[in-house]
Amino acid sequence: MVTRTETPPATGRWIKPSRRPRMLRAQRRAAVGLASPAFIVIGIVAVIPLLAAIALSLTDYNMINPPRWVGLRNYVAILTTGLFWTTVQNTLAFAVGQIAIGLVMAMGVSVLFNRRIHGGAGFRTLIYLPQAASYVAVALVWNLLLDPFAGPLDKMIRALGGSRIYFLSDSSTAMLSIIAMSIWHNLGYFVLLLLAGLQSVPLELIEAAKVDGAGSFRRFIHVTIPSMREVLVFVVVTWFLWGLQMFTQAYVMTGGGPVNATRTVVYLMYDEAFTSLHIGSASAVAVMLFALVVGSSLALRVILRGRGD
Amino acid sequence: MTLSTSAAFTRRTLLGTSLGVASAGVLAACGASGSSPKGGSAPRTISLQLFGANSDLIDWLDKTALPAFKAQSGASVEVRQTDWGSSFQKMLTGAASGTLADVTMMGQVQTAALAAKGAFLSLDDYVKSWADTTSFYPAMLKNGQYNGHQYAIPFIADTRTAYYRADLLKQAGVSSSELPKDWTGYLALAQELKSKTSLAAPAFWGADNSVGLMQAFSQLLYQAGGSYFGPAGKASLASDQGITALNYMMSFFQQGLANPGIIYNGSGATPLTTGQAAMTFTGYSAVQNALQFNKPKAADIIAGLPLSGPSGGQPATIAWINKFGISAKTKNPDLAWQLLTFLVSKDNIKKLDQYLGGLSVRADLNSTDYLPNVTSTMAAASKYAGALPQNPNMIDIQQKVNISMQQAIRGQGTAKQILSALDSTIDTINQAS
Repeated sequence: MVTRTETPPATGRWIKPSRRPRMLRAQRRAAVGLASPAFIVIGIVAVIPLLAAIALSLTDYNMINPPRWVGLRNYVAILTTGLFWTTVQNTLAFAVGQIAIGLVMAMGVSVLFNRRIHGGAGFRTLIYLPQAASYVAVALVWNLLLDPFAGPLDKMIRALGGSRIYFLSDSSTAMLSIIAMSIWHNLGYFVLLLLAGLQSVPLELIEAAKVDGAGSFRRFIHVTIPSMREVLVFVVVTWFLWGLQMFTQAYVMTGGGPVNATRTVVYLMYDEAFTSLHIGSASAVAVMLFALVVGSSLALRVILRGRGD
Repeated sequence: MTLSTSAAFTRRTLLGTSLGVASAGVLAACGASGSSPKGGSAPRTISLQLFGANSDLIDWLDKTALPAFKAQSGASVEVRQTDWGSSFQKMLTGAASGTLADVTMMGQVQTAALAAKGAFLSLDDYVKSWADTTSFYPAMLKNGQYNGHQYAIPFIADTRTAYYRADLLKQAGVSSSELPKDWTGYLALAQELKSKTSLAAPAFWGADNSVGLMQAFSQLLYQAGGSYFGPAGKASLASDQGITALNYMMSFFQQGLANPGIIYNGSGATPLTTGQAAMTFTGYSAVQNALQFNKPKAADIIAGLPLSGPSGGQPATIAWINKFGISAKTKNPDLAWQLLTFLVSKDNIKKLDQYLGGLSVRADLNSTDYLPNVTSTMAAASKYAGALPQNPNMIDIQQKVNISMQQAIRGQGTAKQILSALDSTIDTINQAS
C-alpha cells in the first residue's frame, strides 16, 4: 500500500501544500492546451466525419439535393442484397489470405535479415522500396507482369511447359493475383517491424533454451515468437485492417471483376456513392465497415494478447 | 509585471495577427474564386473542365483556341483537366460544392444523371436563337436533351461498328471488300479465321475493366430490334430480341471463337492492335490505338458497316456522344454559352475530334480528311447510330449490364436467366430513384 507523505524534494524549492492544487490546475490547463490541437484535428478528420456518415446513412442523399430521412432503410436494403455478402466474403478472403501468406513470408525474410548477411542493408532497402510506390503505380506494373499474352510471368510459365494462366480475368485466380501484388507492396514495411521485434528478443533467453537442449526450430517457436508477441500483434492487426480496406488494387487491376470476384466492401461503398449516387447507402456500408474494422481489431487483440497471458 | 504584460501582449498580438492573416487569406480566396466580373475593368475569367485531354489538345487550346477566344470575348479561360475514370465523381462533387466548372465536358450517360439532379443549366433559350442548331445531326443534338430540355451540346461521336485487321483477314483469304453485313456473315468470318489462321480466338467482344461488354451487347440488342425499356418503362432485356442478341454473343465463346480470358486493361495496345484478335465492335479509337502502339499496322485497321441482325433489315449501332454543358451555378451563363459555342464551332470541333479521336456530330462536316486513317465506312456508320436511353440511372445500369455480360461469356447461366435477373435489377434501380 502506498502512503503519501509531505516530504520536501531532495533538491529544489519546498512547495507549500496550499500551493499544490493551484499548480496542479496550471499543469492540467497546460496539458489540455498542449493536447487540444491534436484533439481538434482528430475531431475534425475522424469524429465529425464518422458522426456525419452515421447521420447520412439514415438518409436518402445524392449530394446535390437535400438529404431525406429514411431511417434504417439503407441498412435493410444493403443487408438483403447478395452483393453485399459477396463483397464481405471477398474482403475477408483478401484480408485473411494476405496475412496468412504475407506473415509467413515476412517472418521468413526478417529471420534471414536478422543474421549477418553480406549486403543486408542493401537488401533491406530493396525489399522496402515497393512500399514507397503508390498502389496505382504498382498495380499498373503488375497488370503488365500478369498479362496472359505479353507478360513475363506467362512467358516463364510457358517456357517451363505450363499452360497459359489468365491471372486477372479468371475468377479463381484474380483475387490471388491481387493478394500476391499486395504482399509484394507491403512486405518491406512488415519485415522491418518484425526485424525490430526479432532484434529485441533477449539473447540470454535464447542461450538458456540452447543450454536446455532446444533445437533452433523449438527455440524459434517457444522463445522467439512469444518474446515478440507485441510486435506480432501489431503486425497482424495492422495488416488485417489494411486488408479490410482494400480498394485501389481491385479498382486498377480488375475493376472488381470478373463477375464481382474482386469486388470488396470499400469497392461497394464507392459504387454506391459514385455510380449509383446513393450517398446514404454508401454511408451505411461505411458504417458497417467501421463496425467490422473495430470489431475485428478488438477480437484480434483479445485473441492474440490473451493467448500468452 | 513587465514580463507578464509583455507575454500577454505577445500572445494577443500573435493571436490577432494570425486571425488577421487567416481572414485576409479567406477573403482573398473568396475574391479569387468568383468568375463574375464586379467592375467593368476587372479581367473576366471562366472555367472549362476537360476529361481525358491529351497534350496535343491542351497545346492547341493554350496556344491557339483560347487566345482566339480571349481576343473575341475579352475573357480568359481557366482549363481544368482530369481523366475520364474519375469524371463523374469530379462533376458530382463539383455540383454538390458549387465548384463545377462553368463549361463542363460530359460523357454519354452522364448528361441525364446530372441534369435530373439540377446540376446543369437548361440551354433551351440559347438554342432557340442559335444559328448553328441546324448544322448538327438532329439525333446527336437530341442526345443532349433530358425531359424535353436541352442541357448539353454534342461535340464528338464515338460511333461503333465492326472493325477488322485487314492483314489477318488476308491470311484467311478474305478480301477487305467482302466484309460481313449481318450476324451470319460475322460468325462465319470468325469460324474461317479460326480455321485458316493461327488465331486461337479471332473475335474480341470488348471485355475490359469498364463497360466494354455492355457496349458490345447494346449494339447487338439494337441490331436484333430490341431495346432497354418497354413502352411502360420496364426493363425489357429479356425480350426475344435481347435473348437472341445475348445467345449470339455467347455462341462465340461457346465455339471458342472468343476467349473470356482476354480483357483489355484500358491502357496499352488493344487485342486488335496486337493482333490477338482480328474482329471486334469498336470505334475510331481503334485506329488511334494502332497509331500509338503499332503504327505499321494502323493502315490495316479497317471498318465495315454496322451489322444487321438475324432478321436482316437495316444495320444498327450505337454512338457514344460526348457533350459540353453549363453549370447551373455559373455566375456568367452568357459568357459560358459563348465559350461553349466557340468550342463546337465548325473549325474548332474538327480539332476536338482530331485530338480526342472521334467522328463529327456536325452534318456540315461531311469530309473526314482532317482525321487520320478514317475511311468513308467509319464515317458512314454514324448514319445508323442510335444512343443509349436517356435514363438518369444509366451509369448504374450499364455497370450491372456489364457484370451480367461477364457472367454470360463465362457460361454462368442461360441468356434468359441472366437477362431476366438483369431486368429485375434494373427495375429495382429505377424504382428506388
